[in-house]
Amino acid sequence: MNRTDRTHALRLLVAWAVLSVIGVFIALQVHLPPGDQSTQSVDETSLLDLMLVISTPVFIGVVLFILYSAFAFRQTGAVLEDGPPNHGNFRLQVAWVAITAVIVLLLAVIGISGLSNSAAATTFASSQATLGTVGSAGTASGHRLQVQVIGQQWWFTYRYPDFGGVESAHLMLPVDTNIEFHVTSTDVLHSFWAYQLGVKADANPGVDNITYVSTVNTGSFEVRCAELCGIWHGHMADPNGQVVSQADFATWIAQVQKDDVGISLPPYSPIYFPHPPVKGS
Amino acid sequence: MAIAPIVDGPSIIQSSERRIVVPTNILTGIVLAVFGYWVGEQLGNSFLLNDAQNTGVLLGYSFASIMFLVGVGFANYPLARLFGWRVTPQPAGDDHTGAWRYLNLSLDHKVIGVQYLVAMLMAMLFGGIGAMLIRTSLLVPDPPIVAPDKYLTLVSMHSVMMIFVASAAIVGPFGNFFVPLMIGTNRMAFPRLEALSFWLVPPAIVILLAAPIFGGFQTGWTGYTPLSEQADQGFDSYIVGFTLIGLALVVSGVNMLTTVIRLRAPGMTWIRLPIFVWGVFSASILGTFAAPILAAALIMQGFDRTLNTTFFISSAGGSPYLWENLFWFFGHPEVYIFILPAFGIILELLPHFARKPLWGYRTAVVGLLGVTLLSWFVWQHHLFMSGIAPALRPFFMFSTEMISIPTGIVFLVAFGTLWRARISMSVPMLFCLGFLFNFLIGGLSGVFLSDVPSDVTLHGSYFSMAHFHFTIVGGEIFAIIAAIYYWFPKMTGRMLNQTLGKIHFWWMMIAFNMAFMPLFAAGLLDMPRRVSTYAVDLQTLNDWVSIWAFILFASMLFFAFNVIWSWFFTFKVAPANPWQVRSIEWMLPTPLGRRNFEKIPVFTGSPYDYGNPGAKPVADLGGPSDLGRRGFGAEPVPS
Amino acid sequence: MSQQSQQSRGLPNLVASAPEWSTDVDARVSSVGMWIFMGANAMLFVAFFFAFFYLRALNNADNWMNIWTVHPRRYIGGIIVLLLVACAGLVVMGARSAAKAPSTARMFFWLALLAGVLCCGFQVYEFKHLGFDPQMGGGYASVFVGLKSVLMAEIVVAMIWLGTHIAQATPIGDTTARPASAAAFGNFLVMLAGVGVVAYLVLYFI
Repeated sequence: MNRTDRTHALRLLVAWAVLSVIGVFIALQVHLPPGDQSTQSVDETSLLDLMLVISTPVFIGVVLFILYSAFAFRQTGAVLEDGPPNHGNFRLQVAWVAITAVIVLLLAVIGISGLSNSAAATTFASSQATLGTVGSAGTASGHRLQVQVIGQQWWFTYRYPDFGGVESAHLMLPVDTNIEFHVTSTDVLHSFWAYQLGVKADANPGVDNITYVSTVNTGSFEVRCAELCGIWHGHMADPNGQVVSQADFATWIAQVQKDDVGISLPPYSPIYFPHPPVKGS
Repeated sequence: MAIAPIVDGPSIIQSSERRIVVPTNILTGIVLAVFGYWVGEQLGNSFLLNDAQNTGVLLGYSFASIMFLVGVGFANYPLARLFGWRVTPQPAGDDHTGAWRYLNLSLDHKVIGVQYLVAMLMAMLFGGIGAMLIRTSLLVPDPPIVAPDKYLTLVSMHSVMMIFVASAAIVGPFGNFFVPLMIGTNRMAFPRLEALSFWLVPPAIVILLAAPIFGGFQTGWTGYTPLSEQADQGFDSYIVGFTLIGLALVVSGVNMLTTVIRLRAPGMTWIRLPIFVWGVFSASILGTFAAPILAAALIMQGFDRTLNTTFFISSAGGSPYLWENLFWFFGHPEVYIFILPAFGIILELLPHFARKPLWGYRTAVVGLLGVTLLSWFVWQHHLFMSGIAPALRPFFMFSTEMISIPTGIVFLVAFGTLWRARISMSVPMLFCLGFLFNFLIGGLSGVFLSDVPSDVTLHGSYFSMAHFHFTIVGGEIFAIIAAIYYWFPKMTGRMLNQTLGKIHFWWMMIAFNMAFMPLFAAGLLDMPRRVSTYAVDLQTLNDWVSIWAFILFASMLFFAFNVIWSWFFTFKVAPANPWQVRSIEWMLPTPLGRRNFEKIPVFTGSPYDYGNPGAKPVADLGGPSDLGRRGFGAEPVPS
Repeated sequence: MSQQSQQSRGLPNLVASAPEWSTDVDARVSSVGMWIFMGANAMLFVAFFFAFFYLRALNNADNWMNIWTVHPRRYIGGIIVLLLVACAGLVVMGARSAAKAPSTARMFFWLALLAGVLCCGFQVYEFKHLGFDPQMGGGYASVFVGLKSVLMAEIVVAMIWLGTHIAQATPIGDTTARPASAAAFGNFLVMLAGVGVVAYLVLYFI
């Protein structure tokens, strides 16, 4: 490395360090979704935050380099002249690959650990393996509130097998509870996306797709369909999902049960026939 | 078809002594295509299947495509062989001259390159108009300006059209035109297959554009079942159109790979191959071996729609997961079919305009091949939320993030080349730098999507939509435009206007980023993809995006104006080497002769050897002529 | 025709001076190209075999092989495969003698064509007498019909291709001048036969 190299590198390095500090500071001010309604959304928010913080210096470094070379290394004279004939620097290449590999490994490790957390200390449940084996709450999978999410063109309905399989057009969840969603569909693919809860799972006909959430804060959330499911896909949204206190939930579910007397559906059925016939808003 | 021997024409310029009397040209092709459609539809409907008349439409499209190819002239050679007429390996010259030559079957790779370029620009215009209609509809949240079914048809047609463009718009025009020049050969390995890979594209585009006649299709470019089973016969356009494009990828890949493997001139060793050829080569590997998977999956969809098989119906023993797996097993290599040749263009152009050797050539090749290899192992990252095999998620998360390493190498090579360069800030260079900026954003946002927990929030939202527009529009399209500005003089003999080009760059760069950057925010604010309506509080954001999208479209019209004006209304022939660069295609005269090289060139140096006063020229164009007969492949370089 | 109009009509007078179109260069290209194409074609069938094992493993709604589905008769499938293998073998043998003895090659090719056409005929017969109806659902029925019809479509196209080799297997024909193209075509048929054998084992015995 000669002197010119060192001058350019030093300038870039200083500018990069200064701008990165500012950039990371700004990045830390950004509020990223999905929020803090569940442990999953907290995890996702912090992961998104972390990625933003990691990628900000990368972004700044690359942009700085492009701009710097566009200004510092441009042709000046009237006659085209050639740059120095450098064909490569093996050590620099190895270092670069090593650094990207470390960043990648780091992200993968964080992602995988986040993944095991979001499954809330269970092994990964294959969607097929649990089909029909879960008779009622708390047998196969610990103390979790079971909720079956049924996608259909063009709304979601929710069944609570723990409470006799009653069905609601809006998703109501108690706070401080581990919840196990069983997502299925009656017609085409949908994707159950409870935005603030940090949950997304595709609804496939004939498949029981399981996903978990642990609520920690009360509040309302929005449920959307995130997979193209036909012409009213854009309207398949319900802003009235709610996480409520456990007492409120008990009151609410009792009321729903009272309104829904006399249904006798199997607690789970991947093939689903909606009940009651009127659904959604 | 009436066929009779023809006695005039000397055998020297014809593949057979006798010829088919019916003139084969594009008009015959169109007439036969219409006839073929009618026959196919009648035949399909005569089976009286319980298929909502999909068989008729599918067979109609297929017969129309085949008959079009027959009419254009693809049957002449096989028929001549079948009748036992005398044929030689050397294809007949195209009988046509002037502009008519470009509208008809030609086996000259330079003509095919130009044909591809024009067809791709037209398809891009169709897709762009679709995008404008989409953005118009999204000006108001609800009720939509375009009815939801029409809106989704627009989305689907825009996406499929742009996928057609993206998968062929580099290998087609520039690969076909320049790879033979760059490796020093006068022929492609399979000129008929090469021409076929182009002539499959117009029927595909027309068939796709015909979808609204039958109610369009509302499935997006992914065509997920069972939604696609609900679609009308419009979806048959998707099946046939996409199959034709898949076939085009395969035949173009077979031709391109064989050409690069077998027909390199003496001295053109693998480690002297221009990096652009490496980009085309690696993309061709992916296209050749991934597209058949798509074809098979589309055939299964076709069977499901006509014979009522149940490949994708879960209540009858099939599974929508099968489609998702097959589609993305093709679909993920597919996106690297887009970007690998774009990497090739960028890394090819940077040394020429930075006037420095390509920094770390071998590492760049390793990077391209690394992407090629890894892209086979990442398809399920599109299916993190689908419920397929959750236990495999960590693997696919890891393999996806691994792709950052070879991609990072490409950036490193670009940086090394720029370092202390003497950058000649011409229009192609501006687009290269624009590519680096846009693709950086595309790549970084890709990392956000690759981790499963963050993907939970981002999957299927406008964030992922913004991500792939940054990689494909900001990446690939910018590279294509850089390549057009760079190679246009050699392809057409006319320089594109450089002042208009600079205006175009800044206009497009700003409009593109203004239009697509806010879409990351839209995705984070829970706006899903492919919605005809959205939350009212996102209207300002969407209107902003729409307005900048119109401005972006206007910049492309401005570009089209520059192309048309410079091509047809300036009469000054471009100099042979306007950029004063080393690469071999610029050593040849402009306009190029019908035969590329009078004598097979002998490669003696690297095209990127700038700053070295003692550098040998890239190739010796007047090499000993006897090398031509033996000399394909990497023979020792005569010193 | 005058020299001037020749120039405007087509390629300039090249044949004598265009070494790149000599038959040996063309032969070198055809073998590599065919190997690549065979790889691509193999991927097409890989998708179907994947479908077979995937749907079989999922067995959705217990409908992989439902009550209306039976295994088709093995001997018919066996005859089809044997004819296909015979066809491929005959083409390979014919291609070997293509350069030196065009008439022998022609005879082999005719026999191969006979085997191929018979193979298609038996395939049509099998489709007519399947013993089950794909419209009644079932993953197995779908894969069976899909895989076998795609294979048969390729055989039909290959037979037309074989026809061109028969027509050109004459002393002045192209196949005689470029035996490598016939050899490459033989490779293609061997690949189809290989797919046929694997499909037979998978579809009839698993």
